[in-house]
Amino acid sequence: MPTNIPHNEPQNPAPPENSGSDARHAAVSAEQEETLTASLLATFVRIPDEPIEKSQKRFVDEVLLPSLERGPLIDARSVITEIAETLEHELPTAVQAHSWYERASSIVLRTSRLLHTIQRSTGELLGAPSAFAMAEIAHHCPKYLHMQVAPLCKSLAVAIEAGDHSMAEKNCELILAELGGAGMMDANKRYENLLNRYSITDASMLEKFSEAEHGITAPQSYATITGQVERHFHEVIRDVIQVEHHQYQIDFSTNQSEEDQVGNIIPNGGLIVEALSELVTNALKVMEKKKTGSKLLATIILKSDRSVQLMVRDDGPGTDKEDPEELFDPRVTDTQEFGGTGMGLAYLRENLGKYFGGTIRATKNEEDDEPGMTFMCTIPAPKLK
Amino acid sequence: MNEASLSRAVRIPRNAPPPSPEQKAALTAVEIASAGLNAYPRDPMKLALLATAQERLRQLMQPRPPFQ
Repeated sequence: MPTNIPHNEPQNPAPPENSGSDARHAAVSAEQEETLTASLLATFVRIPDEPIEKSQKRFVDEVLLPSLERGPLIDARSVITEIAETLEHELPTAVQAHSWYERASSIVLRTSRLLHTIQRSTGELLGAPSAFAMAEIAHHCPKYLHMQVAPLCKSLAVAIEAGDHSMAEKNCELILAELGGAGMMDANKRYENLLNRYSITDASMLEKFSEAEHGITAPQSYATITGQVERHFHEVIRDVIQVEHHQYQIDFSTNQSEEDQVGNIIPNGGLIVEALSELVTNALKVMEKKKTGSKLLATIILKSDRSVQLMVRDDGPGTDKEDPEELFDPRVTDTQEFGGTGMGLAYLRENLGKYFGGTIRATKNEEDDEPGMTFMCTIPAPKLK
Repeated sequence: MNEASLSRAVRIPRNAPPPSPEQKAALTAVEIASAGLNAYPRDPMKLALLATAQERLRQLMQPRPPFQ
């Protein structure tokens, strides 16, 4: 299958940089945000015998929402307002469009940092499933904030720089449509409308907690697990990768026969789905980025002690990092071009280790000069209550 | 957090119903399409893909009042 290399190579988005008073203002704000979040966490107390659902709701209302509302979302509303007001009247300069992209990226980083701080305390306050839900929120909420407006602003800046007027106009049209359309729409309405559409609402966050509580430790069969992972990465293949005409071969395998699976249900199925989805889609993104590799092997081995070993092996380009362990450091990512936040692997290792007693490690494939990476993950059998 | 910052606080929508499975799927499609555009900013196919995903999400969000 021929590989269609795009005319414009992906570029790493420039790290957000502020200057002068903006930088000082952002630094003070970030510090204030962290102080506020720390104090909200310190004052939250789990009431004895309180049902977990109630505690989770209080946690969302008393810690999670106020941290965001009094922190980075203030700047999010401000940049949304500025973009809409400008685009209603004129085409911005490339510098202006790029600064919107950088500001949006900066908001995403601050939000991610803040939510990660909250996530670190969630396990102790509410238990493992809640910590996992919080990791999901910390992973997705910044992504939702980043998507649409930010990449469109980047695309707009690139189009203006290249003198591509029709592409620039198209980008402006899409950005304005995303912000509620032209016209004198109230800034608060634009902002609330967007949060609603990106599922950044109290109900959506509570749903994550509820799903984790009922799903993360729920037993699932091998077929269900692979089915869920397949659905997830097929979306990535269909919408990001297939249009590049690059083809991948993905194989799942297990040591369990069909008959054995009926009576041998794999525990921690939700966790396995999360881990495999993260590792498989990461591998696909890296292979697509470098146009190297096409084979992916995902193996689920159920051991006799009921612990589970996951292995995801690809023949992609590997990593530029000297020590592959660096990939687990927060903010280190090889998939930034595809919307990676650098937090996925960090969260995965933290969740696995801290709450489930599992391990994950990464190695470069070196035997037989075969390129690529292998991720090995071990999940112990759950303790019986 | 000082008084000035507090007075600027914004509000995350309350009591809006959580997204339906269709809305979640549309949101994922937008997330993936925007990641594609982020990677290839001048690719018209990525732009068209994002526009389609945006429109689908907008249609699905319409029946629900965005704010009260």
